[in-house]
Amino acid sequence: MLDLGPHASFILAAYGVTAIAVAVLVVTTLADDRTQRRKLADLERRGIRRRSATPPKAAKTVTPKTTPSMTAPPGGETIETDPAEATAKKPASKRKPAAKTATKTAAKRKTAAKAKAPRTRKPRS
Amino acid sequence: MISLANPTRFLGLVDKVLPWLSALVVILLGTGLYLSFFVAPPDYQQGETVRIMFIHVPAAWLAMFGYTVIAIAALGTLIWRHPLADVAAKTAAPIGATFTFVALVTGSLWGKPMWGTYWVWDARLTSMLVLFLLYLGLIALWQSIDELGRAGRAAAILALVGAINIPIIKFSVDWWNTLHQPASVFRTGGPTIDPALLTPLFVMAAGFTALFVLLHLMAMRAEILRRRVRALQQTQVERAALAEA
Repeated sequence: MLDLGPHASFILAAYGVTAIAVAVLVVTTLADDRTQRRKLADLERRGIRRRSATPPKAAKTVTPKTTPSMTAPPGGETIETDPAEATAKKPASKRKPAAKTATKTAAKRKTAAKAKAPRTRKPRS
Repeated sequence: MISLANPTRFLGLVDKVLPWLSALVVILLGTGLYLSFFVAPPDYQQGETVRIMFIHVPAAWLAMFGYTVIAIAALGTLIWRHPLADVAAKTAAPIGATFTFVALVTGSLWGKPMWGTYWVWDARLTSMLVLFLLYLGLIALWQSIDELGRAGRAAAILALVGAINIPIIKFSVDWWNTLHQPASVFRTGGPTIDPALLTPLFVMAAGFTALFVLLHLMAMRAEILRRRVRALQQTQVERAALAEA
């Protein structure tokens, strides 16, 4: 056994306090890391994921019909929700009919072409 | 370095580095503890209590190192407004506070048998206590403001104001007549400590530093994930509101 002399209790107390403080720090950091990973995985399982995150295989085959909603989180990264799920959850009554959208797009195109066309002046008589 | 400022790339690097860093911490601290208890001889004045120095001195160094990290990160928050700088500062605070607490407690436990008292209000001890209070203030500030951007900027200003305490701690033993001994390792004439005691001290300091970096990287990873979770939860709430409308 190591002989620490008459001040052994002070030495052991110092090392003991340090060990406890470091252990608490390590355990809380690890627990926090695991909690956040679990929460993130849970959200991603429900189809809410960041834009840069790899989408699940099923979602890859679906062509998005709506613009994905994007928000800029405080972390500075752009995120988006799963477009397939967003469309699926929207009630049928709230969705725009495909034909109406197509007409609108054609009208928009016509307006844009008109704006781009060079203006010609009428010759003065 | 600039590419590492991207949180996703940073997380990838952390995942690669952590296993190696964990092994380094175990090796360094294991070797340091062995040298401290079984190789280092007792000091001719302090006797066996010199073994407290092998944890007290590295803890005090890292207490100041942690605050320096926060101050540098605060500049990153205020000048470039980079979220990773705020993450680095926020996560360094609890680690730095713990090492300051360890330095204060182990110093007191060394002071009682050597000085005859646990505490004196001398410049070095008081400035270290102020550092501990600064850490607690920073943690409280981050916890009390919900909006991350505002909390980060407010904490960055406090951190930079408090950074004046770091040179005060370092030079307090030279500027004032203190009970605490002057610098004996990093001084112009070289260390005044015998190599038999200096080696375990440096090994323990390297182990503590590696532990600090390890914990900081782990805490930064958790904080980045927390912010992602928060952003996704906000998205979820927005989607629910849209669905109801």
